[in-house]
Amino acid sequence: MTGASPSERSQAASPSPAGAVVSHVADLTYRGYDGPLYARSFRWRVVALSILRSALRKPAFWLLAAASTIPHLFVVFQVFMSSLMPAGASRENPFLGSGVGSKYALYFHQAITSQSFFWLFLLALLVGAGSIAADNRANALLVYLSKPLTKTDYLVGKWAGLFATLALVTVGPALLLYVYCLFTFQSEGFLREEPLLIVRLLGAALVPPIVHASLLLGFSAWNRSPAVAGACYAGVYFVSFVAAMTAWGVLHRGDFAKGVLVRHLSVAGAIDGTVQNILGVGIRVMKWQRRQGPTWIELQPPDFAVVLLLALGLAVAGVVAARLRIRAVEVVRG
Amino acid sequence: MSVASVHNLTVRYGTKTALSDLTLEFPDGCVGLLGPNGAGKSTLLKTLLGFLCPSSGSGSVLGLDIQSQGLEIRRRVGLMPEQDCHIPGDTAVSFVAYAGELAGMPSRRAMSRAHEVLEYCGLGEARYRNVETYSTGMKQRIKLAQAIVHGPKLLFLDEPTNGLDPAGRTEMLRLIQDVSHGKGVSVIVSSHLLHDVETTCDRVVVLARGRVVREGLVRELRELQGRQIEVELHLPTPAFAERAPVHGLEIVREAAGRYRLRAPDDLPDPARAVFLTAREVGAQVRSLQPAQRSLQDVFMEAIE
Repeated sequence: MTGASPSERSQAASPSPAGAVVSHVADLTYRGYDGPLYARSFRWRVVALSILRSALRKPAFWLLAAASTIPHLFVVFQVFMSSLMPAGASRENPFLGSGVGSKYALYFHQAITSQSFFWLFLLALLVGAGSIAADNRANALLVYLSKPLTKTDYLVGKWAGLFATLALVTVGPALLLYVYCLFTFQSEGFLREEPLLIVRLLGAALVPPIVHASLLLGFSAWNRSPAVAGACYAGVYFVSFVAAMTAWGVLHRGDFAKGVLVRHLSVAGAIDGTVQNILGVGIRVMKWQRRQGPTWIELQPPDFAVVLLLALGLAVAGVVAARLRIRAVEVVRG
Repeated sequence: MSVASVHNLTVRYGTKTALSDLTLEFPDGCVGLLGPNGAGKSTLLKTLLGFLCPSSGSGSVLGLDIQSQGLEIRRRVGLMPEQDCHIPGDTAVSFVAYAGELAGMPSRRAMSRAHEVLEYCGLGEARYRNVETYSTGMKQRIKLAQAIVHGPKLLFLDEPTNGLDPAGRTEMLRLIQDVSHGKGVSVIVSSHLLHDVETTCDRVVVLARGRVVREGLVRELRELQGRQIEVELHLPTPAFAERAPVHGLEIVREAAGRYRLRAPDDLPDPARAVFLTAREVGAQVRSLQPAQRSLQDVFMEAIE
C-alpha cells in the first residue's frame, strides 16, 4: 500500500464516502499518493507497452501473426526441397527462380516482401488503425494529456508500440528462417559467402514495420473511427500500388527493365525497393509475349537513394501528420 | 493561500474572446466555477492546465507558471473532464492504472493505487467489468478515480454530475465534498448546476461572457442586504401585503401565501410587526424565519 500520514491512516475502516461497502479490513478512505514517480522520459514506454499489450490480447493478432509466417514456411519448404537434391546439382530455388542476386538473400527477400505486402499489412491495420483514432473517438486524449505527458511522448509511445508489435512479427520468423538456413547450408559456405546477411536481414525486416507504423499513425490521428482510418490507409496503399504498376506497364511497355523506379513509386513499392537494396537482390518478373510466350525479365533493384528517401519521406510524413493532429482539446476558431 | 491565479488573462479563439482580461485567485479548499454555457469556465480550466495559450496575461497553478510549466502543473493536478473518455474494451482497473502510469507511477504501484481509488469511488465491485457496460454514474466515478489516482494536490472537476440521476448525483457530491475537505486536496468545480456548487463549495466564482461577475464565500454571497424575513400564511391574503407597510414592513416578493419582507433597521421588532399585520387582516401565520438568498438568486443577479 502507498504511504499516508498517520491521521489519514487513523481514518481506516470508516465508511466510504460513496456509501458503498463498509469494510473492517479495507481502508476505504481517500489517501494521497506519496510514492515514487518515474521521470518523464519513461512515459512513452507506458504508451508503447499499452499498444503492445492490447495487440497481444487480440485473438486476431495471433491468427494474423501465425498466418504471416506462411511465406517463411514456404521458403523453409523450398530450402528443404533443394536440400534433397543430389550433391553437385544446382541448388538454386527450384520454384520459379524468382530473383537475381545473392543466393541466400533471395530466400529472405521472398519471405519478407510476401509477408509485408499482405499479412503484415493486415496486421498493421488491426493494431494501428485504432491506435490514435480510438483515443480520438473516446476523447481519451484529454485525459492522457492532462497527465504529465507531452504530445511528443504520446506520439513516440504510439509509434514505438506499433513498430515493436510489427517488428516482432517480421524479425521473429526471419531470424528463425535464418537459423534454419544456417543449419541447412552451413557446410556449403552459408556464413562464408554472405557473412553480413544477418545484419542485412535485420535491416530489411525492420523496413516494413517502420513504414506501416508511421503511415498508420498519420491516418489514425486524423480519424475518429479506426475502421475509417484503416480503410483510408488500405485505399492509399493499394491505389498507389496499382497506379505505380500501371504507370510502369504503360510507360515502359517496350523494356520493363528500364522503368524499375516507376514500379516502386508507391507505399508497397518503396518498402519492397528498400528491402531489395538492403538485401542486395533483384527480382524476376514474367512478361507474356504473343509470339514468344512467357519470358522472364530480370529487374535490378531500384535506385537505393530514391526508394530510401521515398520510404523515409512516407514515414516522416505519417509521423508529422499525426503530430499536427494530436491535441488535448479541440479549438474551433471563430 | 491561493492554489491558482490569473492576472489580466485573455484567451481568444480566432476573433472570439473566450476570457477577457480576467484577474482571479482561487484559494485552497473547494471553489465553484459557475456560469452559463459559453461563459468561459472550461476555457479557464484548459488554460490553467496549459492546453490553451493565452493571448495576453499570465497565470499560475500551485505556484507554477501556466505557460512554461504545464508539465509540472499536470503532475500535481488531476482533471475530471466533462465528456466520457474511456477506451472501449478496457476494464476500470486497467484504465485507472494506465492513467496512474502515465502520471509516472511504477506499474505495480499504479495497479495497487487503482484498486484503492476505485474502492474509494464506490466501484470496488465493478472494477473488473468492461467500462462500456457501466452506467452513467459509474462512468462519472471512474473519471474521478483516474483524476485522483496519482494523488494530485488540486483537482479540476468539469461538470462532475452531468447526466446523473438524483441518487448518483448525491453520491458524486458526497465524494467531492469528502475529497475536498481535510484530505489536502483543493478542488475547482466547474458547473452550471447551482445546487451542486452550493452543496460542495465554500467559495464561488461566477463567470459570464468571459469575465468575473461575482465572487466570494457562498455564505457571504447568500447574505441579504438589510433584515429580511420570510413569512408563510395559511391562506394567501392580499390584504396582508397592503397592510404590512403600515407597520414599517416592505414587501420584497410575494407568491402563493409566501411573503418576503424587508424590515428597516430602526424597526425594533419585525416579528411583532408581522403578527400585528396578520391579526389586523385576519390571516394566520404558519411560519416566520429570517430570509436567505439562494445561490440561484445570486447567480441570476450576477449574470443579468
